[in-house]
Amino acid sequence: MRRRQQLSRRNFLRGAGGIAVALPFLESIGPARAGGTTAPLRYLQFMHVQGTLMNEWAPSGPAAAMVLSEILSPLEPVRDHIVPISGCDNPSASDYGVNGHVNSGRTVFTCAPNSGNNDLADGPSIDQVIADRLAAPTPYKSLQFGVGGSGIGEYQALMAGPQDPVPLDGDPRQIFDQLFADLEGDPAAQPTALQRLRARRGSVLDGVLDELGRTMARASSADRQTLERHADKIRELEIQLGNEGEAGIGCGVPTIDLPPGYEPNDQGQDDVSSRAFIDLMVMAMACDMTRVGTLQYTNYHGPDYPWLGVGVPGAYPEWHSMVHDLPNMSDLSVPRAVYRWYMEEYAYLLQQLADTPDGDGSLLDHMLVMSISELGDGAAHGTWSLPIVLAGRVGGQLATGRHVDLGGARTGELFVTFLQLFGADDTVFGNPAYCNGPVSV
Amino acid sequence: MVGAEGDSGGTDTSEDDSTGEPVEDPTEDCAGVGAGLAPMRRLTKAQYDNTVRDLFDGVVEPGSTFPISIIHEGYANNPAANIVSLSAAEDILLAAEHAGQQVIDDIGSIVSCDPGATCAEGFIDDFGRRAFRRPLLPAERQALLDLYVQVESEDGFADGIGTVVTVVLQAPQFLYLFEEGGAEVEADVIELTDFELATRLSYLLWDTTPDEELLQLAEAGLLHEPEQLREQAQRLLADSARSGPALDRFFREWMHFDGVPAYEKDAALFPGYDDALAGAMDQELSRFIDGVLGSGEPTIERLLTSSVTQVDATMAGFYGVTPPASGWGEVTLPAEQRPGLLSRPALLAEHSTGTSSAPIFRGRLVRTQLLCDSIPPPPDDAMANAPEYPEGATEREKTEILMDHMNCGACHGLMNPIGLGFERFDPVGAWRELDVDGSPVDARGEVLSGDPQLAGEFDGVPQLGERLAGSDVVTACFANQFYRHSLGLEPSQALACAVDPIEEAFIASGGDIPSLLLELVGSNAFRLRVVTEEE
Repeated sequence: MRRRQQLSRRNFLRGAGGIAVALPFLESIGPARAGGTTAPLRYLQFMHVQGTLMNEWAPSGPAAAMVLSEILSPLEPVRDHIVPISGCDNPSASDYGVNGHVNSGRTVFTCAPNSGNNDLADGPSIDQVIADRLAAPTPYKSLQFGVGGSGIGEYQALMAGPQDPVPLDGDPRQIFDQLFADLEGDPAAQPTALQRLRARRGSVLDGVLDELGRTMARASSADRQTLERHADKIRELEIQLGNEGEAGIGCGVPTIDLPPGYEPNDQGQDDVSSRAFIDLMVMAMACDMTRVGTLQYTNYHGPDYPWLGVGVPGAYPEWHSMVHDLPNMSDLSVPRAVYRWYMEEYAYLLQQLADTPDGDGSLLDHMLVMSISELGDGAAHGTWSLPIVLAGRVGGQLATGRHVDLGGARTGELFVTFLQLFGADDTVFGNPAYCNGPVSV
Repeated sequence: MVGAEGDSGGTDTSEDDSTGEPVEDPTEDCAGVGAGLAPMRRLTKAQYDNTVRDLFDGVVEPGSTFPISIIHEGYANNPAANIVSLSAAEDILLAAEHAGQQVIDDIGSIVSCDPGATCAEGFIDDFGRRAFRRPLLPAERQALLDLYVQVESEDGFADGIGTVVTVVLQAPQFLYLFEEGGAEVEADVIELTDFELATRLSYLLWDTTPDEELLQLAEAGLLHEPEQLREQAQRLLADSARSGPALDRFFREWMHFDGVPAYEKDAALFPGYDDALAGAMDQELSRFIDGVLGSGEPTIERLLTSSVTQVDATMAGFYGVTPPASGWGEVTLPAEQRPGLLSRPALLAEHSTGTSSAPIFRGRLVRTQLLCDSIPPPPDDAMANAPEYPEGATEREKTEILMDHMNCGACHGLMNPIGLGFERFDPVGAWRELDVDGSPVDARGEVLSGDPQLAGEFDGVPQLGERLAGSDVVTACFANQFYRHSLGLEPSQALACAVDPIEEAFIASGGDIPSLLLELVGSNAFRLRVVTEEE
């Protein structure tokens, strides 16, 4: 586990300097919940790309004494916390017409294809629906980081609603500034211009609301409705920004180690940035800045994974074309190493969550975490039998440390189960044609 | 569904049938003078970025957080597609703070007067006028001054100014092209103010905020006569550094080309199609269009038939022609292979799947974007009931099966027979002589149409291009598309009595594209606005 600066209430107040009013949600971090009290439930999803080697991915042996495959073997240290899921399909992708990347990427979390082939998904993604149902008093409804940069194109997987894409944040330093910069540094230092502006968000947004009101008074009825909706969202934003959250005892400022030459969109450094994004996400959860998060690895096409020291064989122009050709390859050591690497990152994430205390246990004890890929078997580019690994006990609701075969259940049905684990009474998710209610995990 | 959520009034009916067919009798709305509808539009991301740069003379970078624009029913400025959500509100706030922070940190480059109340008042009047594209109303001015005074008393002059900027960049008067209008010229029709016309003109032809000359003309009341508008349009168009990218965005949105391929190409089938080639194709598309517009004959006919384009080394290799000595150079390609817009590789690759040449997509593009016809959406069970095709079937064989399958032919007859004319272009836009089964490519197609200029069989894109180029339907459709783009309208919102005169003038001009732009900006459809009933 990486070194991180533990924060006492004193640290926070000093760290916030003269701008405590800027970040009202931090004021509550001091009187953190004592150990032994219950902790809020949280959801985090981890999306890696290009499926996996499905023929060899699944654990073997009895469910409760599962033997992890080589690809899943990095999860051995956290095996008691995980539930690998076999036999869960995303058939909604095929509604887009062909089973390409647009289709799989845009339905993997939404199960809501759009009949216009090139359009965004027709409904919200599961993370956003969980956030809606939780309606948590946190400063952010959700946080979503793009490992490898924020550009996603075909893989606009997260949606707040139809035609309402949720963008990814792709720069760890910018995320750090947004979430933690106010908490560290020289307590005597003057707040920066940005910190001072943020301190005045209340007046700024009130000013915007005044202008909306002034304009509305002069608008036609159709335009007035647009402006009224805009004003509603500003009011929601004011409430959200005023939220304090309930920081747990594990809350602290993460240490982000990025080399001096690091560039956010340089996917040759995903190994470096991946850990930074994970550390940021874990602490955002521990500090209750949000209860819903996504880590999405964005480059599905051309990464060459230099840190693995294996390299894409020269016969292929890039990683993606090699994946297509997997059936013709006799030596699968390179793809195996790549798919295994994603599970190393997932294992690191789970270990961090398990090591961070929260309430009467760890963060992970009160979470539902899902690792998933948009494709099942990478070579086939199919959306059957997606490589899903759940983790966390969701406050004692999920029995972990076993392998579950859902035998052809669909992701929409799995996501209904998620919603119910978070106390919602939903019985359907996404396009109802692909959802017959919850499944038992 | 966006429209349903957005409640955009009684005109947004195309949402329900998705056909794009005008569904209302428009004649009763435009009251005879040719005014059109004009719903309020939010700045697109490109417009926001350009505007922030221009408002601060390049001193302030817009950053990356302003929400991306969703293209819906054709054009990125469609209001129904860019309703502010919670995350958009947050992103707009972050973008405004990013700008405000730069203003505070670099205040000396932003204001030239000595810090103080007078300087602040001057800044608010000047910046407010440029950001809201009209002089501030007294209440607006007072609100910004009050904010400045409050912040200045706590954190000083720079913070006061920076906070004012942070509010203004989120204010509806800045974010929306909001047109209250002026005098009523007849029942339910108002004319736009000179400032509103300056704004329309500038965002249409430059994708940015009006410059000082436009604002001063508006202030002097010298921007509402057709000749005044046309003269300014000519000035704006002559500044190709700004008008070029703005017009390029129209052509891309019209051709449903957003630079993000809908389908990733199968690398085993098309090993040569890599990011470098795709990027070169993308550039070539813009250079081809620029070449037509900059030629002595900037017409719709030339757009659809010209074999003159530009290549760099990559595109020269792709076309099999001699590369230029350096950079990009003009070449004339074989007219029987690469005539006009419809044979541009970027578009052909965009309107294909990863493995197939997709006559459906290519035919649909011609049908909806060049003929302005509508195609009903496929029934919900279309994919579940799709026919089985034999292994290795050609697209022509698949089309034959599809046309006879259930009711598929009713709609696919509008698309596939046109799309088959593109069969000499493979899924990455490369020329091919042989089909997937090794037989010589058969690129005969047919346009089903009630219009005698259009209807009938053809062989390949050269004949299709000639046919379309000679059609008044296509010429009128282009004018209709540009009009819709200018105001973010869905097909059903292009009222016939507003757009008909523009279409007729474009036909009469011989399809001269610059004339179309000038005709439009001087038209009643541009200068007036219908007040809808519920107002």
